[in-house]
Amino acid sequence: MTMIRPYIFLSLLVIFVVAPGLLLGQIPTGTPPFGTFSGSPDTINDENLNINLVVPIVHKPGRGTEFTYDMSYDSSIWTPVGSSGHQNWQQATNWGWRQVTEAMSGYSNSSTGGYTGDCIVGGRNYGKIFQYSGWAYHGNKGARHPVSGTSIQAPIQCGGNAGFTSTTNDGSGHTVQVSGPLGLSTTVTTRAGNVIIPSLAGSSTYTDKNGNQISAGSSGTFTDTLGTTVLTVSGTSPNPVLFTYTPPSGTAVSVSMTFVTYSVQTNFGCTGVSEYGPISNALVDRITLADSSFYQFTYEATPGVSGKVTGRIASVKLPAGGTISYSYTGSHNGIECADGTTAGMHRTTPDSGSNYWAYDRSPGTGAAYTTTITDPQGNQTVIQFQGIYETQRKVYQGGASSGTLLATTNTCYNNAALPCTATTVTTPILNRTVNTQLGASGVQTQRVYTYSSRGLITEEDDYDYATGSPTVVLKKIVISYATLTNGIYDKPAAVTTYDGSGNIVAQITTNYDETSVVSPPNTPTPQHTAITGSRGNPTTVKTLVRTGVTLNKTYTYYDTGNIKTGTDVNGAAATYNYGSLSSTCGNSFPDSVTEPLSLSKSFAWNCTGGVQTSTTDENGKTSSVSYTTDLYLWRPNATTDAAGNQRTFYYQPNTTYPSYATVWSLNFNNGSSEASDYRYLDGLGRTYVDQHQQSPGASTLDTVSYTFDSNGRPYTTSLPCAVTWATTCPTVQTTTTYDALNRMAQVTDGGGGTLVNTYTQNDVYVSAGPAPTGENAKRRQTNTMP
Amino acid sequence: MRVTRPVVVFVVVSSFLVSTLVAQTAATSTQAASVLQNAFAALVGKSTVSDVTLTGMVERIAGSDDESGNATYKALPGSNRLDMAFSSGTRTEIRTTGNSGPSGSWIGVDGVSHPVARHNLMTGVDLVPSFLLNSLSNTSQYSLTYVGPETLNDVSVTHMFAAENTSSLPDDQVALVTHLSRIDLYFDASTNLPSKIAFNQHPDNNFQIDIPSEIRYSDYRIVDGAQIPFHIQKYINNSLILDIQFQSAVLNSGISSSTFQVQ
Repeated sequence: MTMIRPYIFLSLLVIFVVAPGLLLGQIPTGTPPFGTFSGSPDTINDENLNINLVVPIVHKPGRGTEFTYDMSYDSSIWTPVGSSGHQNWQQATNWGWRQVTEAMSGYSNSSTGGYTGDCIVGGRNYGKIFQYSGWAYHGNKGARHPVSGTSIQAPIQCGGNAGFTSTTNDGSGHTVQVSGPLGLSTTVTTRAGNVIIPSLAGSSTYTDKNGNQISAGSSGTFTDTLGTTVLTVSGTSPNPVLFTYTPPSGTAVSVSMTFVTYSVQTNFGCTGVSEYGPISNALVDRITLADSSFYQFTYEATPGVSGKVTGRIASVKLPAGGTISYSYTGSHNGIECADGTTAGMHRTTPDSGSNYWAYDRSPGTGAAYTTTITDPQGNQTVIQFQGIYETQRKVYQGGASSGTLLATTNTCYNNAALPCTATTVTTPILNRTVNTQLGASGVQTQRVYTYSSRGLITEEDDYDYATGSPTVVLKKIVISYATLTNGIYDKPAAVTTYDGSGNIVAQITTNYDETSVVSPPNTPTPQHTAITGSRGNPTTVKTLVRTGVTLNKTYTYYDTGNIKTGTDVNGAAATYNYGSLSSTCGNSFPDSVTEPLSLSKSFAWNCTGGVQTSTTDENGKTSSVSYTTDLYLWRPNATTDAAGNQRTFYYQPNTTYPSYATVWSLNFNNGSSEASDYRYLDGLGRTYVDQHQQSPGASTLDTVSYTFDSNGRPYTTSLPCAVTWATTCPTVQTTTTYDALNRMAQVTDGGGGTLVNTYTQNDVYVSAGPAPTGENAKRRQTNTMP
Repeated sequence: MRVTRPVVVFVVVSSFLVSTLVAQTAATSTQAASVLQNAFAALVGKSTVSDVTLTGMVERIAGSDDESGNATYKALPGSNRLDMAFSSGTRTEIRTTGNSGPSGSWIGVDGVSHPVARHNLMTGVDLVPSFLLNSLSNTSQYSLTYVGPETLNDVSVTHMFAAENTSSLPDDQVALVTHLSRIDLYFDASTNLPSKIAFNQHPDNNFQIDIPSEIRYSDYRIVDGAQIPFHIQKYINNSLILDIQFQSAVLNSGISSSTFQVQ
């Protein structure tokens, strides 16, 4: 099991007393297809300024499908709703957090519906008739994928309950079958053929195209494809919610989500929209990981109302110690009265110092919005949208009004003429043209993408730079997809690359499911269901090497979707063996491979973590990875190579290395020599001091240290130095600056030498300075391809 | 739609209430029926009321809107109408019950009439509590549940709730209809008069979202022998949206049922 160490990712959890009923989700949350995003580790939707935080909790390799349990949050929690002439602010379900099962499976819901009448037959009233529409499948990271269709709840005398089957047209390609009026029997088939029976907090299954299944019980128990209980979730808000799993030490540990009760009240001051509250609500305060590091959340104080919060996130403190803060700007205390989206926002990071990322939105006509992003260095990017879809982006060095325009990118959909900032975007998106002009009136390049109705790319045309509209295609990639059953649409049948003259320069063709699958020698395979029809397993892969000649690889499969044999282009076959259920973690991982020339390798696995613990190579030499002592996460405590050398790993918390560091050390030469690496991490989980001990036991370490600029880009690298632990080096070796397009502008070395990049059209002039006495400065010119 | 005027004499209704409570459905608890009966008796005494007209001042608060004006409330059993005249225009809410069930409309300052969503008519909420209690006493339509004594704003109250009688509904509708039609009632323990009713409104286009709503009653005054609340406040999400202070009450003026014609 791989526990993603959440230095970089925001790891959050959630739970869940469902806030009164809300199933809105009309503000695009998560990361919907074709959206535009910025930020890290948080993700900002540049169109509506929704903040999406994703926290990996447990990731464990599986048979065909990894168990992935991430908790995520979306900040767009307020939406105006109308009821009988009144409007009021309504909060999002669970205050923006995913719920227990939703975090694995997503969920489906209907966002509109009504009691349309009574079922009166022959003068007798048999009950009521309800309609449910506005259906959508919400992915497990919060993205909403709408489908069209209406389900009916009615007495049998009036036709009974009725559902529908429909396919999303937002580019996600999901097929949603609603067989119950409340969506309790919703089945979602992804375009990859994986079948999800989703749920907010109840039982759920995820079955991949080969029948490998992950299941969630209604009691909060999650079972992975290996058949092991990989996670249990217990508790409900306002009490702590515990996410319990077993680490390498074998003693179960928990991640805990704790709550603080706030008095929530809005004061947006929108005309005609009644404020919310004050009402006491338990909001997520802290998520404490098993190793006691934690995320902590604060909430925006209600403007003008003492002691209340609006429920909108004000800051998140990361386990590595850094804090990202948000404040809301613009009219109505930073909310758009029409839809509840964020009007403006300041985002402060550990890098930005006293500056911040400013996001300012202004509405246009219809679905048009413009977002101006000002980075901490004062450069502005002006992005226009139609709905969530970016239509134009202008990047300025400096401010939009007084700075220099570096590039304009127009993005148009479904063959709309460029520019298309006023053109409504309708789904499905079958065509997307991205045209970039350098400078205010420089050369242009263009990429044209075409898509299937399920959002799969079918062609990409790359155009050369040109003055005016590009017309010369440099490269074209065409992708066709295999026709398969079981809802599998995403398997490429042929990927063909053409040059500008239309000649094929590369091609890979793939056939699927040509041979029958076989059962592994030992059964039953846990968490596995039988599959009939297509599986989408590639059985022949042909790589074109010259006209009419291909190199072919072939594969056969077990019914689990694991490869049984792989035959290379020379006809040499390797057979993957599954010796027993226990040694293969339920037919999940091979315990040996029989190779050509009578060679073989063997493997051992830890099924609790789904990790490989040893490999014995063709010479009988064994290298191993020890997962035995870590109390918190699935991290190796030692590795031993085939020669017997052992590398030891140390993680926080650790009394030997109290600073926030990861350490490994390798002793050799009978203990007289040592290789080691000490990496100290900053508040965002990035290495800022990298050290190597000079000798065993030495307190002096060869060190290089790093800094980052206010935008979060690598800024300085130090001259190597010898210092003690966790100490930065005093002398800067290189300093790198960037322009507003994140292109390298200048590199200054410790001796004062410079490399200055000057960008003109699509040329880059690299000037080395200062010029030696009596010589001119040296300059190199390169020409960039699109 | 022609609405038959249901002339209701409270003395008669009281008798009806007693008789129906004796023959209450299995879903209605004896305690709840008793509480409702006591409240009804406290409200109407021995008076005879067939209609009510209240006039006074209203303050409407909605975000940045905070306006005051005149309010006129008219009601018959099963029908009511609230007209609010502000400087920005007139707002009207009408609800009535006809042969095809409840219906309603609201008219904004632009003069455009909009239907009230049917799912927002299922609670039968009425600003005048005596008419509401009268309708809830019909156990063929409602089941009553006793919750118990509670404290509300430092005042002892008795809590019960009513919901639509679901005995004739398909099984898969019972929970939903019960939820949509539920109305919680709180009676002052010392006077038995209604202090508050609580219910869920829903967005016009989505009955699956609950919007917690309350109507709070105070300043009861005796008018022609009946207790009439002269101060009525409506809250949504615990936020005050209407504050009505009536100044006069007229009973039995012979209001025409056409007054409540849904537009």
